[in-house]
Amino acid sequence: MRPPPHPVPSPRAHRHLARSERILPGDERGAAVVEMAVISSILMMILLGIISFGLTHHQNISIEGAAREASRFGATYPVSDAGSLEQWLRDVGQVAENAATGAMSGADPSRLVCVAQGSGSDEADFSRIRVTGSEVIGVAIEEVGWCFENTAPADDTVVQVQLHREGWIEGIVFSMKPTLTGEATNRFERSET
Amino acid sequence: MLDRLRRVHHDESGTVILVVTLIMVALLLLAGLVIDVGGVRGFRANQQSISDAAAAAGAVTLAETRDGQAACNTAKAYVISNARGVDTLAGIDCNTFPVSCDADTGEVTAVTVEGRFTISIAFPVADSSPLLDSQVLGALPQPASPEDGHQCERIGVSIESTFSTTFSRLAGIDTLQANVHTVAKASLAKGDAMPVNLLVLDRTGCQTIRSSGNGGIYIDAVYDPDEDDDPSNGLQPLLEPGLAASDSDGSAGCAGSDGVIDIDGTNAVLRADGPEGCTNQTGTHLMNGLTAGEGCGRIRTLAPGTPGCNFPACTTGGGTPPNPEPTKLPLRLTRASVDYRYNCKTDYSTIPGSIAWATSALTPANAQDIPGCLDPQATHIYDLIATVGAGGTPTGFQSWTGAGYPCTVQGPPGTTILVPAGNWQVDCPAFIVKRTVVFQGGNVVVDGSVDIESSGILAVNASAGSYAAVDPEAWVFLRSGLLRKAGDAVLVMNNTFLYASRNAHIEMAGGNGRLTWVAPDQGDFDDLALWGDSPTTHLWAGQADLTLEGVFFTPFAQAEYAGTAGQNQVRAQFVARSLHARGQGTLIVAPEFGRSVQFPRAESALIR
Repeated sequence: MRPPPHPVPSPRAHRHLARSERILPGDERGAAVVEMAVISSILMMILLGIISFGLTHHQNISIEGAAREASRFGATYPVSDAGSLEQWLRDVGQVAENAATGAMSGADPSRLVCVAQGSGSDEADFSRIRVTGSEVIGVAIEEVGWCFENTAPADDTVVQVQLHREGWIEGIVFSMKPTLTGEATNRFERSET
Repeated sequence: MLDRLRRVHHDESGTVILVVTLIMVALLLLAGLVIDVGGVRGFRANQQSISDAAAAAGAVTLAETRDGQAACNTAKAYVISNARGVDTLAGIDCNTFPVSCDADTGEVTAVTVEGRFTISIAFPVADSSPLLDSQVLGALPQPASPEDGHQCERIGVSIESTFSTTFSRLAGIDTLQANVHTVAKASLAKGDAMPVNLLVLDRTGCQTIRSSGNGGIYIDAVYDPDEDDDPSNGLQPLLEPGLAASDSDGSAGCAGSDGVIDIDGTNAVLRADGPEGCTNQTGTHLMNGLTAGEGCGRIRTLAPGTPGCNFPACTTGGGTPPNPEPTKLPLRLTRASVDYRYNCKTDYSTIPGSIAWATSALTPANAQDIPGCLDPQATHIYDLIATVGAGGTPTGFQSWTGAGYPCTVQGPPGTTILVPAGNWQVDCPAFIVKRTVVFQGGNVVVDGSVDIESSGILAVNASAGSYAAVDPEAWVFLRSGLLRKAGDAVLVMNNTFLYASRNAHIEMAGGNGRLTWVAPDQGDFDDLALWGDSPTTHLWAGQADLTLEGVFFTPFAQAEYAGTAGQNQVRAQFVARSLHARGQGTLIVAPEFGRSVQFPRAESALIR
């Protein structure tokens, strides 16, 4: 780049000019580095956002899929094979956790795995297990209640699976913690008449 | 001028921004597209699960009722339960579906749009239905096969929806389409079936399974000689859990201490055994070399009050509470499985006029409100009733008296009538056996009562002397009266099916005699020992030598067991209106898997 023409300066002024030359408006040396730095940080933010959004999205899909997979598993899993209803509930819960391919494991305090079996519109007619946070499904205790309100026909014994945890979308300047939920209801087919 | 142009040409200020912007736009579009396509794939997978859950649930209802409207309502309920944003599906009118179905019923499809979903339910699913065409990319055509069952056993659910994209909008792609469908098949009275030792059919009554005095009912494990859960072991013997079930809801006549399952004697017992190893096992015993766990079977009733032994499902007034505790029977097992096997017809709600003389009238308590039987139509029982008729000598039969035989068989000890092989009509108002009568093969029609007195021996389908079986199948038809065996008398019926009309019933007194009653091993009545259409109680009792093998079906009458012997092994399956063990009667019900009627587990299979 050609510098603009100017009168011959004193040596002192020359040194001053020599310094100010570098920051003259027309001098764009290093501008690419600055631009790159600014844009990269924005780009990184967006990419981070996309990656964390993608991961959360994937977790959401995994959780929804795992709830349905475990529910379907429970629908065709005889209670007698498990030995007891309590163990049956745990087994279905374990299938849900495994099917979520990591999205439901760990010690996330927002984590919830609930499996219920029962019929009708009265919560007292349901048995369930619920584990939260770092609790382990294998030792969960059977209790009375459903995971969510049952809208299936009252005569049907149903399997409910509910999975729940918080996701995390991080974009440096913004951050979101959406709730990821998977719920499924299947009709229990192994009534073992 | 040229110089300025050259300067502009070489001026690269802003290039990075331009390049980065272009790359970013491309990158963002690509990332957005990947996220959206991933999203629609996940959405489609979940949609498939919703469709599977709905079709499977609908198919279970089909298995229970064969009612297309009920199945449609069930499928709807599970779509609503699982699909977010679908609340009513009011646009699907299940009343347009057929209540009953056969091979000629046309496919009905109901479609509605709710939220972003277009949902349709189809029943029956014809062999030619597009729903049976596999739509998986690259899949070969998958025409309907026999494994896909009858069209009336299938229900289809399809869900089409529009997935709104998030990022791909920038590239002009606003929506993506996700279409799925499922066809589920109901398991109806065939396929994966379970053995039932004792089934009582009374739909409303009390004391349907009753043990009183010192009476004991032991539901043994069911020996299955060639079944095993692990196919890698090959077919090996296995014990299935024994099952006693009552179809009664206890809505009529249950009061005070009378329960649907009623244990009301000093030493009364009801116990069901199964494979060893259950938590409430109280002991073990060997069964064909396998160890059965006592209390490891199942006791079920439709009446409320379970689990546990609570009114009206179960009461214990003395004796031992049922072991294991009764649990809820989710739906009636009904007599359908027996009817389908031996008297398969499209409609059970009425009895044809030509048959009515032989069978009891239908009442609410014994109604056969069971779905019609699918092909093949084989009404063996009605055919037999029609062939024999209410009176006269059936074609191909010889008259007993016409051949010169007496209606009262008596004489000095050792008197024996060896009846030549062939079909006989015992045309006596009362056929009294005080000595020995051996029918050496063929079928027998009896017009009136048969009374085998203490010194008498009656053998059917038997050889002289040893009374060994002659033919693999034979039948005896009781037109009316009582078939009575005195305690010390001998009755041998080898490979024989006995039909007792509404006017005939059975009374087997206990004692030192012998009772051998084994069902045919082949033919139309394979495994069926008794089909009794009378409402009068049939009496059974312990014998010094007792062999009962096959299915004893008395849908209108109570079976009462009052034994004198301590332990009686009965390889029989009882399907009766009710069962009562009393006195010293200890009835061990231990049918063999292959010699009993199997009852369906109502369940579904996803076939497309």
